Amino acid sequence: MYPSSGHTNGYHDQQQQQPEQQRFVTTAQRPRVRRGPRGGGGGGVRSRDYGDGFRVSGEDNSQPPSQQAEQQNLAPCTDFDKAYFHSYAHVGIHEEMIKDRVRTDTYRSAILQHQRHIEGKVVMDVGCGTGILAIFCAQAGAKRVYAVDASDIAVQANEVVRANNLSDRIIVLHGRVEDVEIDEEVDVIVSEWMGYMLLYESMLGSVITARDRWLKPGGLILPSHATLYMAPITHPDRYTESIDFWRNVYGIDMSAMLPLAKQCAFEEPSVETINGENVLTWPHVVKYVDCYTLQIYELESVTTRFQFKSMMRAPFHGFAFWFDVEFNGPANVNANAQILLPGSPNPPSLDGVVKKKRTNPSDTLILSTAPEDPPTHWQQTLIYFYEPMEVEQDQVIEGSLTLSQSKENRRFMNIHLEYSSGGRSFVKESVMR
Amino acid sequence: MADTESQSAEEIKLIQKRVIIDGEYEGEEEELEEDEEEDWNDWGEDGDEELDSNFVCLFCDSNYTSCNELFEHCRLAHKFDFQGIRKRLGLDFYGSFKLINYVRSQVAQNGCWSCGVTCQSKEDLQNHLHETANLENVRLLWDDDNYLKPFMQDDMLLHSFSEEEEEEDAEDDYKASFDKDELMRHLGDIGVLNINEVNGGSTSEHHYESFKQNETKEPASSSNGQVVYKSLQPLITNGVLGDAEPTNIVNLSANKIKTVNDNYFGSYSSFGIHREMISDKVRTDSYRQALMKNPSLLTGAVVMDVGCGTGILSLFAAQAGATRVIAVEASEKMAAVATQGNNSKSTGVMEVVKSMVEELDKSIKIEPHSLDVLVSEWMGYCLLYESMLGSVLFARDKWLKPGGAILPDTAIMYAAGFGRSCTSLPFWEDVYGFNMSCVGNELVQDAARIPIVDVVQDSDLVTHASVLQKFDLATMSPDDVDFTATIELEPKSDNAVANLTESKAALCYGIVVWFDTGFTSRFCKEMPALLSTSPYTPKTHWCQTLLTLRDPIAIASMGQQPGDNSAVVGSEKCPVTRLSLRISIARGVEHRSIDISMEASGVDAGGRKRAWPAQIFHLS
Repeated sequence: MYPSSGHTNGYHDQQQQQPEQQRFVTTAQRPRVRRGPRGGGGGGVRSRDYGDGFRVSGEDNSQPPSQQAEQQNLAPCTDFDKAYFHSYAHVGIHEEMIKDRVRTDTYRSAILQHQRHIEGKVVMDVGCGTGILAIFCAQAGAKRVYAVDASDIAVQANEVVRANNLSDRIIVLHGRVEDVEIDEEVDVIVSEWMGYMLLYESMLGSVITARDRWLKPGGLILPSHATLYMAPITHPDRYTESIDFWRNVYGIDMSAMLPLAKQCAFEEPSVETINGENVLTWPHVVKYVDCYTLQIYELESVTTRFQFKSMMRAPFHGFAFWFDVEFNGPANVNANAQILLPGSPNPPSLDGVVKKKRTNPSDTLILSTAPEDPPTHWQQTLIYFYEPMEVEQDQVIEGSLTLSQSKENRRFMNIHLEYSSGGRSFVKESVMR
Repeated sequence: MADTESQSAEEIKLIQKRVIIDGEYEGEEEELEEDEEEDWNDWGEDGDEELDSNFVCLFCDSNYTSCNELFEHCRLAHKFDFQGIRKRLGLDFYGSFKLINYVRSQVAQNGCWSCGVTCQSKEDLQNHLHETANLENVRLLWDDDNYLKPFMQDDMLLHSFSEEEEEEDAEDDYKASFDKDELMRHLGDIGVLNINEVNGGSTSEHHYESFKQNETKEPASSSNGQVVYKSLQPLITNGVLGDAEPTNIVNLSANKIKTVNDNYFGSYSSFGIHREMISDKVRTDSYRQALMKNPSLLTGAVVMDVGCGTGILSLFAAQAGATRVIAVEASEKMAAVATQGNNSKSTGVMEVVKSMVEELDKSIKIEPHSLDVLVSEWMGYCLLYESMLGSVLFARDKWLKPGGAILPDTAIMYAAGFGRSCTSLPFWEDVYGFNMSCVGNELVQDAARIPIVDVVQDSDLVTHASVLQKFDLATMSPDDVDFTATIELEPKSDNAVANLTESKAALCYGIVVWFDTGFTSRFCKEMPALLSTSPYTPKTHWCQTLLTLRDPIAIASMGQQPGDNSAVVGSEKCPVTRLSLRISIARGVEHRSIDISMEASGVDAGGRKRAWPAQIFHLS
């Protein structure tokens, strides 16, 4: 192993020595633009000061700005967050996301499918972006939609709302869910919060915060559940393209480059599209998330042990990760509504909203980013080994995986992977940043 | 300077990397550089007088009065055998210098220098330290120019670790003696450079300039190994250029730690970019054709490759029968890569020299005007952004034979008007049936200040192309890259682009700029070649550069009936029939950036004129 994998998060432990460090990291190393296309394009929305719970909508200005004192229990907005929100102000990313039809169509279908829960109700769109989901909800008959986004894109969202004559029903709030204030509870939370590998730079924490602050007991969360999967993969083409390329470069042998090429190509997780044929086994569930019951601390670290049996003989190049999300209604809505008083100031108790998975699978809409399903902008996330490992049919591959939030930037993700097969054991550390 | 110094000077020379960054631009860059520079200059001065100071242990807080005692302590207490490692790996002065800085940077993070494990505390680390079996692998980790920058201020160890051996190894060519003042000056400069790199890819121009004359005003290009092409694109697509909020007061000491890491990874990224460039078939094929298919030019020739990168062009030249190929690369890492790439066919022909072209004299003896062929892939986005052309011309004037070949020998910039399809506007007009055009408008306003690098299709163009500027590399002067040109753009005659109804004018949303470089028959007599980055030819990693107008200008052919006289010239009711653009491109005050100004004016069918206010674009 090269030390470099630990190195990528090098300032991890420096903080004790260098308390000032954190401030610098933000400028030096903003999180990569989430899901942003590297090429292609357009400029960006001019940066404005990041809003502090500032209501963009013209109407109903009775809300006072956020009261810091009330929010001592909520996570403060760090510079990392600011950088993250800043990166989202770039509209090209939103274009990319909206153009992902699998994503947008599934959300629209889910909103229409749950129309009876939305019609005449109060909805919150957490991380609204350009406001497309909020608009879908308004279209589905929502009485009022709070569209919240901390990024400057909120300014654009407000204009979009106005241009489509929805200002009377959609209220755009420019700020974090931790900071904004609304004076009512909501019946529905909708959010497109998923990041690469589900949890990388995910907004799930914000969804949970919104749930605990405003969701009525028995309220609906869309999506309701999420599952992160992993599976061993073989990908000879990618290996050839990245590595064997150097053996014959326009007729010239440059194989001296191979060690460097391997390090360069396989050090960090790679977001790319593979297909079902690359996958060696059935996937393993790394984490199942129930948005109704999940607590924020559960996201700090996820550990799982896995065991796979290769279904074929092939070079084993690494692991792929993908996820799906379900759009399920709240279980026992009626029961809960009876137990908990409407308008209760406390968040619903955990037990109150426990539900079974896929009570009615045929009805459940699923947005899947699996290799065998139509591609999305999330693609799959691959962690490659420096050297492939030959595996036989039925050979066992086992080990463990830990995903944890980087302490310095909670939107970075540390990936610790231990795996062994055929009597050999390996450790791979990576940081997704 | 004595001859023996040349080796060391060369080694420490410049560092040029293509750094991929994630698209941020730091407003405080300039300030930082200056602070840092002063910082290191001070250090250089102090350093000389304090030779009797303490030597601080690499791993713990112990102090020693001699290097040898310290190294003995490190060997026994921390299982770190400095002299042993030097011997086993045959480390020269700079290799050892980097090792010390690397180890210090790791220790500062409680990281193990040899296996990379990060410990919870300094104590844990000290317990963790262990013997290292696989030194060659670990060596890669510190074999980076960035570790030439002293990690710890006033690190006396760096001054002294090699003194004992100096005499005994005096006859060893590889290890050069050095002038400490000179060294410290170099190191100071490297400090400056490091900051640049963190902030989004740097060139050595600034460094070179300040090094030469302590004056950064003149933005001459220099022999940077390669240009930071790729850093540009994320900058632009993220659209945060120039708008970065100065959120932080930067702490310099924290900065230093960070710098080491960032640069380390930056340097690997640079490899990825070379990989991408080699994979750009249009680019590599045209160079290959020029080099391999012109035997009368290459057979027996002495060739120089400026900014060789992975060395692919040099290898082509060697394969084509050149007797000597001097591959110059300022980045130590890329030079090492190019050296590794040397294969049997090129052995004895190709020599990789790690140096800036401007300082090549210190590293290698080349007779003036002795080169037959000068080859370089120097072009940047929009041809001139971060280009290495200045270095190529420097080499031309100094070493190329009269009448010698320069490849490529011509560069032509073109411009054409692009239409709405090239903007984000159509997309945002109808998003799932909703009108989001305000978002599109915001994008266009942004693009009117910052050039966009993107792929343009032939069908996006609404005017014919026009030559913006021609450069003859055999004769041009370095200052010719600052120019002003006026061009006339004519609407495409086919009305397919001018829109469905014939009376309707085409709207020109901006100007797309691209370039061709030619390997013409002047030198490539058997087989000329052309490298085109136009919208009409297969795309390259350069894409095209788009300069967006604040407001679109309607443009129509002469044959159409005069427009509505009450309407504003350039509106759809009264299109211009002639659109002229005055475009200036100048090297920016900041090194490696360019400024572009664009003024549009037009005349309608009735002879009425209108001039639009100038727009300034800044590419950095």
